[in-house]
Amino acid sequence: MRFLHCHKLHVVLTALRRCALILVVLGAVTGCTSLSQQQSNSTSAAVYDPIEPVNRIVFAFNDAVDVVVIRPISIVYADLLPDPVKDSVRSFLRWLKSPIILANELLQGNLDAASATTERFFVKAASLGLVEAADAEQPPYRSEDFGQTLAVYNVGAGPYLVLPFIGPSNLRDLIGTVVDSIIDPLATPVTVLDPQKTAATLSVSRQVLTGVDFRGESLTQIDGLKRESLDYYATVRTIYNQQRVSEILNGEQPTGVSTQTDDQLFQSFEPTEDGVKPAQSGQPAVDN
Amino acid sequence: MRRALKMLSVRCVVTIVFLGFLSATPTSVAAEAATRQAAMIVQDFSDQVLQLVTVKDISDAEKRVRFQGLLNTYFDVPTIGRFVLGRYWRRASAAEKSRYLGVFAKITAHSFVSRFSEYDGQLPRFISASQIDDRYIIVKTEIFDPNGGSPPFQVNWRVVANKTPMKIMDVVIEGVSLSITQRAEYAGFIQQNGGRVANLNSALEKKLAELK
Repeated sequence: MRFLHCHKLHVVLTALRRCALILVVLGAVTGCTSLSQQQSNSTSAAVYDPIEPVNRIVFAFNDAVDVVVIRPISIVYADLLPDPVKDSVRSFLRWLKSPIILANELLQGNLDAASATTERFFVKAASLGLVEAADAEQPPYRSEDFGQTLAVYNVGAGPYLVLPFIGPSNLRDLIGTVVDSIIDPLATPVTVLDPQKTAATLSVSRQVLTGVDFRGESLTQIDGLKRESLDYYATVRTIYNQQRVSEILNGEQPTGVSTQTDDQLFQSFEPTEDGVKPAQSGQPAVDN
Repeated sequence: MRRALKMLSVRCVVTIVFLGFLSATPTSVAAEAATRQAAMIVQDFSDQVLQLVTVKDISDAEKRVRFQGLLNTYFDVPTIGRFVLGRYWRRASAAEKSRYLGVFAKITAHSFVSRFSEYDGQLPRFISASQIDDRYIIVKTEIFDPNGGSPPFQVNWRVVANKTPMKIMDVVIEGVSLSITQRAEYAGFIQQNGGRVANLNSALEKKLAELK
C-alpha cells in the first residue's frame, strides 16, 4: 500500500547514497528502458514480476509488520486525535513535501502545476503548513515524485519489487525514491553535515508519521481489501500499478500507447456466446 | 419526514446536475443520443444506489438482495465475470463456468454492499460522456462531499455501447479499475493454486460463506 511506499528505508537509502549513486541511477535507467520494450507486450493487469517468489516473502513480512506494529499504532492515532488535529498533521506533512513536488513538476515541464505548488507553499507558510490552503481556483493537490518524472520521459516501470518496510515499488520507482531523498532539502544536505543524525531521525519520523496517518485514514478500506481478497499480494500489486499509471497521467485518460494497456484488454475482449448461464444452486441468485 | 425530504433533495440535486451536464454536451445527433443514454444509465444506477445506501430501516441482507437486483439491471454481470476470469475462461468446463458465474455475481454484490457503511453523504457530479471506440462509452463522474469533509475523487464508468440495452462493464475509481483488479486477483489465486478454475470456485464459495 501507499503507506508502505512512503516508509523510505533510511538505512538503505544512506547506503545507496554512499555508493556511486549517479552510476547506479544511470545504469538502472538504461535497464528500465530496455525493460520497457519487454513490458510493452505486458498489461497492467499482468504486472511484470520476475522475482515474484521473493516479493511474496517480503510482502508477507511487511504484512506481519503491519499487523503487529503499524495497524495498532494507526488505530490509536486515528481514534485518539480529533479530526482537525489529523487534518493539520496531514497538511503539515504535505507542506514539507512541497520542494520535492515542485522540483518534479519543473522536471516534467508542468509549469502550471509548479506555480500552483509554489503559491500553495507560501500561502500555507503563514500557518507553518498546518492549515490546508482552500482555494477553489487552484488545481487540486497532487503528489509528484521522481518515479513519475522518469515515466513522463518514457522510462518503463521495470520489474515489480516489494521492498522491506517500504512496500510495493518497481525498479523505476525505487530509483525515484532514492533521487527524491537526495533532492529533498529537508533530509539530505543536513544529514551529511549532521553527525548526531538528528535530521535523519526527523526524516524517518516524518515518513513513519505519513505512513501511520495514511493507514489510519484508510483503515476500513485496507482491512476490507485484505479480508475480501483471495490473493492479497496480487490485488495490491495491480492496485499499486494502476494507481501509479493514474498518478503519472495526473488522473487524465491515457493518451500514450504504452499506457493504454487496460483499454486494450477491454477492446480485445470478445465474449463468446456459448450459452453458459450462472448456476443458481437451487436457490435464487439473491439469497445471501 | 426529514429523511424523506433529504432523499428528495438528494434526488433533485443529482437530477439537476445531470440535466445541466446533458444539455452541455455538443456532439453529432446519433453519438449524442448514445452518450446521453449511457450517462442516463449511470445516473439511474447512482440514483438508485444512493437511495439504497441511505435507507436505514432495512437489514443488510435485504440490501444485498436489492443491490443484486440493481447490479443485474445496470451491469452486464455475466460478461464482466468472463472478462474477470481472463484466459482461464476457455480452460474451464461448462459446469465450472456456470458455477463460477453464479458465485461471482453474489460475491461482487457482497463486496459492494459491505462498503455501504463507508458512505458519508457524498454525491455524484457528472463531468462528461464520450464514445472512445465502437464498443465503449466512458462516463466520467466525480464524487464530492457537499460538506467539504473529504476531497472529491473521480469515478469513470465503462458502458458497453453496442448492445441493447446498454450496460455498465466496469467502474474505475481514481484510476483503479474494479474489473482489472478482480481479474488480477483471480489470476494470482489460480496461478498459486494449481491452475484450476474449480479451486477458484471453491475458494470464492468459502469466502462468500465467511463474509456473510
